Amino acid sequence: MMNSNPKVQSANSKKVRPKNLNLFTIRMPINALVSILHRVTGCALFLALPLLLVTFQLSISSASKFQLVQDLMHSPLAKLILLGLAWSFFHHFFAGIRHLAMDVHWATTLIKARYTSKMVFVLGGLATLLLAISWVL
Amino acid sequence: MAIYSVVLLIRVLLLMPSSYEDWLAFSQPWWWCLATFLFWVSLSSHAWLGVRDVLKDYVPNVKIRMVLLKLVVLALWVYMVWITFLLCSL
Repeated sequence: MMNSNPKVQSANSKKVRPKNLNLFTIRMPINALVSILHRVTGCALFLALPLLLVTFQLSISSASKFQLVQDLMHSPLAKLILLGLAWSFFHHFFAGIRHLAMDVHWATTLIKARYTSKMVFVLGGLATLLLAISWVL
Repeated sequence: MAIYSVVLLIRVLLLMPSSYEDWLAFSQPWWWCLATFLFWVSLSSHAWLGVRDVLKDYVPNVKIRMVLLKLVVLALWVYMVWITFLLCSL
């Protein structure tokens, strides 16, 4: 039986409203992917700030502490974290520059925006890869 | 911040600081400390705007969001004082 009260009716229709926020069922266009990763990497970098400060403090406090930081950075776990943060930084860097370009109305058409999105991924990946190679060498 | 990052990369590649003495010499010039300080001021305002936007979008509960926002501000101020202290101790 339908409820004639409009308030109750809207409350009922709210209940059956379909939700489709499962990220695995939403196909993200490349521009959306760059955008959400810009956010995620920004958050990661923000959370890494205390780590950066502690590392810098140790590295400048004494020669032995400097050595300790160097040894820590050579551990596989530290390298994994650093690589993740490095990629975060590079992605955020290039996606940020893309944003600045779009703020001055450069590359705002869909085709160009898709192209610059790909560039962000390529440059971010390449920069991280170069860093990884420089560690191995 | 982008300019500072590029200059940092270039300086690292040019000077290749590997010992403690090198690292101090790398960090100690007054103009580099000043640049780092200005970088951190920019970083703080940038992080504030970014995290504020993220919390606005993903924390619908106003009370919880306000607490988180205040914690973010507090953290950024602590970091600001911290980096200033470190730069002055160089």
